[in-house]
Amino acid sequence: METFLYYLFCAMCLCGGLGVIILRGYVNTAMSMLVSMLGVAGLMFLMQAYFVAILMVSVYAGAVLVLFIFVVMLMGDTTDGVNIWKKLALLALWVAAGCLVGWFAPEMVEGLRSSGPSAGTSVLAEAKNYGTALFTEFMLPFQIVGLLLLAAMVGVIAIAKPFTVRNRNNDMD
Amino acid sequence: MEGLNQFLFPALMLFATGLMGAMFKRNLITIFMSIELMLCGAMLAMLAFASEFNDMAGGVFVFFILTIAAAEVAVGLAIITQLFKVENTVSTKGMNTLGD
Repeated sequence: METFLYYLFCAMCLCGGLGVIILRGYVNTAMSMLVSMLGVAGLMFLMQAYFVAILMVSVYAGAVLVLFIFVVMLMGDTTDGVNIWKKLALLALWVAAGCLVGWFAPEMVEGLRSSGPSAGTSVLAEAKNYGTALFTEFMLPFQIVGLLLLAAMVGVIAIAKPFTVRNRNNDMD
Repeated sequence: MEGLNQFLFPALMLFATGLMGAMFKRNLITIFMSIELMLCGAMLAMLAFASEFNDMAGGVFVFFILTIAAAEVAVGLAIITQLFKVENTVSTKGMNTLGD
């Protein structure tokens, strides 16, 4: 069962990724990215990182994808003009990259051995561990990320504001 | 099933796919999605190592990457919409005014 799920999620991941670079319409692209994200979340689930998997689904599939689709809908032109030869070249390159990665993958981590197979539950499984780590060891990055989110919010508002030349005389209306 | 490699393969492939998309596509939105795919691949690899060594740091940094990716998407899409207002297209073909 686990092997089947692994191959299913892997296929979702890879086919979704391929769809992003091959498909033509923006909405199709966004949907294949959704498939890819769900596959990634499933793989995280198989690693017993349940909290991050749920976060992945809610943040990526829930927020980021919706934002993408909103922007796509705001724009009228909904196709990406890529001809068939470029598509075939991309596909061939993708297969070549897969072969290369699959060929090198066993040798890549040969020198790395873990401290033994982690029997029982992983430390990544519980949300409590994330909270403890965030508020003790990673307190400074946590605060910096908060500041970064504030900066991003202010930046987005500044960018998205209508671009007008302010005239001192007509400032009141 | 062996532990680390089986998760590193999809991670690397996702990263390679995103890289190819970012390099060869001519469309700002698709390029942006490809960058998101690369981030996803990096997150998957980080989590694979964290789960293999049973270490919390990888998981927490995946959390940070998720946050930063969300912020990045908001800023990037705002820039793309503004660019669409000015140029009336999202193709990168004509966008070379800074190079002139």
